[in-house]
Amino acid sequence: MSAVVHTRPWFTLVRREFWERPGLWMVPAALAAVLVLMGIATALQLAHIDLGDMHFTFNGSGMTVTGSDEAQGTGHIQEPLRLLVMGVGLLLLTVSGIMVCNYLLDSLYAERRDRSILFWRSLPVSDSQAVLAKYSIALLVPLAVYALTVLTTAILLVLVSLTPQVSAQLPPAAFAQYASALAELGATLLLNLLWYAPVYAVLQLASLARRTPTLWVLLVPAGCIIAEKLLLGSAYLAHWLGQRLAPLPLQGVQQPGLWLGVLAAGALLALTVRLRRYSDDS
Amino acid sequence: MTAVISASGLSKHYRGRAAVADVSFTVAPGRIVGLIGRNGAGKTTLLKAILGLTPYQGSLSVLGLDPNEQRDALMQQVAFIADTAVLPKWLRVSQALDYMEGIHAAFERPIAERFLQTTEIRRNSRVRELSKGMVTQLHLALVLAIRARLLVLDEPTLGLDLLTRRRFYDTLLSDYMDEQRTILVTTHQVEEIENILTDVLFIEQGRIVLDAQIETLGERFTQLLVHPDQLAAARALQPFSERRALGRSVLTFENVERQALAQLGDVSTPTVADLFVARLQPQNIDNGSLS
Repeated sequence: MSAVVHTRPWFTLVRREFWERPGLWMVPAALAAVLVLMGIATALQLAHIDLGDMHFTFNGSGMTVTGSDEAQGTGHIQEPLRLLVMGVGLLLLTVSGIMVCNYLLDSLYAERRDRSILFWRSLPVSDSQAVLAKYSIALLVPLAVYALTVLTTAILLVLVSLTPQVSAQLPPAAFAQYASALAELGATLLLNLLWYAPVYAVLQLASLARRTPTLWVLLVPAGCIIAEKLLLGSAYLAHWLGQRLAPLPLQGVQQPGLWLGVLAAGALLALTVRLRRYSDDS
Repeated sequence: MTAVISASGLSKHYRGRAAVADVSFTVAPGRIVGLIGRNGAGKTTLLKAILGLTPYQGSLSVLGLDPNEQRDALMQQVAFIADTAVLPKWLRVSQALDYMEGIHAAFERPIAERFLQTTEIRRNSRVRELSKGMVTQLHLALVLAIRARLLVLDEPTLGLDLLTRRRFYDTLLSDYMDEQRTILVTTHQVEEIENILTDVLFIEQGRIVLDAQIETLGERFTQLLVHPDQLAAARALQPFSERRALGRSVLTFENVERQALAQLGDVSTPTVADLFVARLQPQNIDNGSLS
């Protein structure tokens, strides 16, 4: 008699992707670790250096650094904690965003390149499961990177507050600034995950190409833009594409293009599922 | 007893060329069927149709399911080894086990673990670090641990050494086979598996040219080794194939009385390999100008 076996297909399929491409989590994690190490080094230095009369003063939303003598002068930083959150967040999200795009472009190509598709296909995993699990990586990685951003900036903030020159000056308003910056970053991220949903879907569809998906995804739009320029003399496509690829600010939530894009992503995913069915059949 | 595979009028065309042409056959449970044919004869295409990997015309039922329409349900009960090189290079042995356990409701991990313990495969090795024989053993371990009703093997031992090939088939027989389970296997090395097969299907140019049970081969086919002086008499009994061997001729007959043939020379039951050659290369037996 065998015990009842509980399968966890989604968990397993997602885990499989990280086995194949550990860089998807290792690179952002390593970057965050470097930032924290840099923060520690700075804090240690500050703790041991006699800064003399140098002062960090929080006033309103800004921070003023005042030197001990005239030569050093005075510096003012607008919203320093917002700068910290956005700096760390955008760095990590940009890096992981590029990695996710590369990943999608290869996601349904790699399995045919190394012929492992014959193994994956020998198991009870449907094409929709396989395609959606891979697509979900493009959403999961940025969300995980956001959590990593919260962790990294929190550690950096603790380091800052441990530095004697700063801690005494850190007002409650500064923490409110930190929290609101995190909320803004999170909301912008969620909005842009929706905004880029069709772009992700296009990249994954391109990965079904018989060869060189990257070339397809670059040459097809480029060819269309050139054709439009030559035939019609206009540049609507280039303009539209430029808008579509630029990140959406929070105010863009009311744009109909956002929701049309989500619908388009759904349609593209359905097409990808259908095409993967016989993608290795020749 | 319902058939495990039942095909009727099955065809598959690639760009106008028929890879499988109007094929009909059935496979009963508990059989080990060898699908034997030359390169490009249509073996792999036929297997792909059975596994729902390619669309086809005609009717095909595998374990009572339609491979085109019900592929996901079908793959719960079917296991498949394409050939030796399809396990991804980056996969670790432990990950392969985790994956199967997470995906496949019929996968029994302890069976795979037990089998792996008899090998030198380490759990933390990646597929790329394993020898070709070890990769096959790993794949076999994964497949044996699936309580699949149908096991499809497409050239599973291609490129492996004799010892590994032998162990592969021994394991299949001892650890997998029972009366509920069925194996469909293609291979070039007919000689090595003909003693484990219960049935053979010869395929040539997309058509089944022989569908026979091994135990009936002796009743149906006779091979005659004949001296030149008896050759004319033997030819009169209409062999379907003739070839020269060491000054004598080897003629193969279907449904001809063995006693009648025994008076002309030495009779024997052809091996599957002999039959395959006889079917596919009948030669020119009319003018006797074999060279």
